[in-house]
Amino acid sequence: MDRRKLILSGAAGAGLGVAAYGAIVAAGAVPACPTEDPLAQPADAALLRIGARYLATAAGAAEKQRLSALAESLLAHGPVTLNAASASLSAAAPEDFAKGEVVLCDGWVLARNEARACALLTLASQTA
Amino acid sequence: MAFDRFRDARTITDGTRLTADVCVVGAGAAGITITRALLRAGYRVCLLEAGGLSVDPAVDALAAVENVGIDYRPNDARMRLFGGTTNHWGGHCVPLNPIDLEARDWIDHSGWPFSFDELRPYYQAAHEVLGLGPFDYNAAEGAARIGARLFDFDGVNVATTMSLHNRVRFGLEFGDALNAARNLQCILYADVSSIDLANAESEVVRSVSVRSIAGNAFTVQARAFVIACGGIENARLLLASNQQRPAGLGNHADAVGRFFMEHIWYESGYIAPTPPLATYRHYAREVPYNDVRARFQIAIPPEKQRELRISAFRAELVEKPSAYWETWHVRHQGIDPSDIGVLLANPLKMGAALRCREHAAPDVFVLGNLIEQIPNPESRVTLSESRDPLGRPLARLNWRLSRQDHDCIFHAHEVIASEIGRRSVGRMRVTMHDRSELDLSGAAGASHHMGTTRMHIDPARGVTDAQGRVHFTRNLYVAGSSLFPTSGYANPTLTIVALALRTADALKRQLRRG
Ligand SMILES: Cc1cc2nc3c(=O)[nH]c(=O)nc-3n(C[C@H](O)[C@H](O)[C@H](O)COP(=O)(O)OP(=O)(O)OC[C@H]3O[C@@H](n4cnc5c(N)ncnc54)[C@H](O)[C@@H]3O)c2cc1C
Repeated sequence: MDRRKLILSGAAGAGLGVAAYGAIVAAGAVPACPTEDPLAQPADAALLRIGARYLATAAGAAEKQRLSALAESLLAHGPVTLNAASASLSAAAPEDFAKGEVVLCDGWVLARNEARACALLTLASQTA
Repeated sequence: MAFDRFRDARTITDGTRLTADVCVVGAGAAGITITRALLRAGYRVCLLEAGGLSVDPAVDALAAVENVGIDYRPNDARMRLFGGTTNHWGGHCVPLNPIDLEARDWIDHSGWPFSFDELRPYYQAAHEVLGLGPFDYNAAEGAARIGARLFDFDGVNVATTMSLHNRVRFGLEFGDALNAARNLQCILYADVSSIDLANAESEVVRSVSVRSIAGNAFTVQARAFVIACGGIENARLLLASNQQRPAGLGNHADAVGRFFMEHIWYESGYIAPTPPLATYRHYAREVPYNDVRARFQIAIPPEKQRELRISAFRAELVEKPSAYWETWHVRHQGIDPSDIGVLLANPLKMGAALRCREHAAPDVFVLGNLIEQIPNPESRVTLSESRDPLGRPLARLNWRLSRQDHDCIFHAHEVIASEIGRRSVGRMRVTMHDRSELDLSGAAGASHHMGTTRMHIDPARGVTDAQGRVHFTRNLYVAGSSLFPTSGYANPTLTIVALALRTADALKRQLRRG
């Protein structure tokens, strides 16, 4: 089994929350028709790209380090934990939007914690 | 000719002198509106229209525009025939907002010479002309009336607006009544070449010189004159009327032709929606409303404009396939390698988009923006070195946008995108760049030509006074969107008609005074 694929597809579906995932995936590079089998889904280039841009432009050095460490330690425990971590980050999205904690990544205006979730995916894909 | 009392300028004997109380030049929305108002008051009107009853390339050639600014096709945006550009307009109507008429300290050259309250009764009357029903643009009430569900925007950062649609073609709608009016002489193929003062020192216009493509020429004398030739030709005609005042009429402050404005049409962002999409679709198409149609838009409310110090911004939604959108941007806005990466990540979808282009299955809502342009004196109409077939200088258009336009659009996008996220109805992607250099590639106009004969009570800062009368003339008026000092985001024609009715009132007062 390709571990990296499992992490990405699972995390993208579970981690980003329905609104952002459905929206971005639909508008991004993958067909908006998720199958039952997460392994059958292609890696989501749009989310990885957002993650990469967040790390490159919006995250400070300290945050980058924190996210890298988090990605590594979560990866050590397997994909489920990573899913859970990114899910909890994205669940904070409504609160972020309400507080005006938004970031512009790759043109997308996202809650900061959504962008962090994407960054986590990006780091995990690089580490895996 | 279907209208049997209309005359054809090509058959009028060379050197003829016609007379009327008022001579109106141009039979589009503005000219026909003023003409009707004056006829109703019993005045004898001579309405001169450069075109005939159908498109004629020989007539069009008399008004070709030399374009030297932004890539833009002004010639496609006008129609030179009876009824003017309303022969192919969209019929979207919405009034300006009160803030649009205010002097806003963050927008140089802003401020109309009167407030919205002054315009309100004329808007109501314009609604009758345009068959729009009651003058009411309350989006929430409008939506309730037709059972449409709108986004629950907070109204502070973002609001829903409503426009009404009724495509009245002025020539068809009012032609019969004009044909029947005994106090009207309507002359087609009558191209006005110059406006002539009684003498070089005079402030009184005595006549206009008319030519036709047949080569004949005649004059029309009147007590008052109204120039209603559209936003580019109004400036051209005033500038070309330079026999007695070398800079042209109304050009004492070098303002004629300056401040050319368009509503910036810029598709610069899209929303990836969260289903269900029914609400989105109310913002993406016109829906039946009373006897006309209505459409809803996303706009930045006045207080937010004030806070952010931005111009007026309104977006309607256009349903499009995202992949086609991405490929469009790659083609038009420079290639970013990561864009290619995203496109290649799904070859099937990209293949479909390239093959089907805009007909690929839609999955996003693009923001089709109508944006107020910041008045810019360098954005202007001048006289070209090139001549038309009658030997007259053509108009030369240098439409320019500014860094401030770019920044206003960008800030408006950020606000709307945050609100879309906050309402959990999707996520928005801003596809314009926030680069330091001015980059509005892909920006187009909405075929609204405004600002070139701006109103200002101070002659040093405008071409006409608050009634549309050209400064330092006693009897020459301008009608149309060239009068607008600023444009808001409102499609212009409702305001053109309202202003024309207001100018007609001023004219009647003047004529009554004698
Ligand atoms: C494709 C398109 C869609 C549009 N949709 C909308 C919309 O949905 N809502 C909206 O508000 N606006 C819309 N507009 C703009 C609208 O058509 C104009 O605002 C309106 O027609 C302007 O009225 P006007 O009388 O000032 O000028 P025009 O309608 O252009 O009329 C000017 C007339 O003057 C005549 N003329 C010009 N020069 C001379 C001369 N020297 N001598 C004699 N006659 C002359 C011309 O032949 C013409 O008939 C649209 C425009 C286009 C091109």
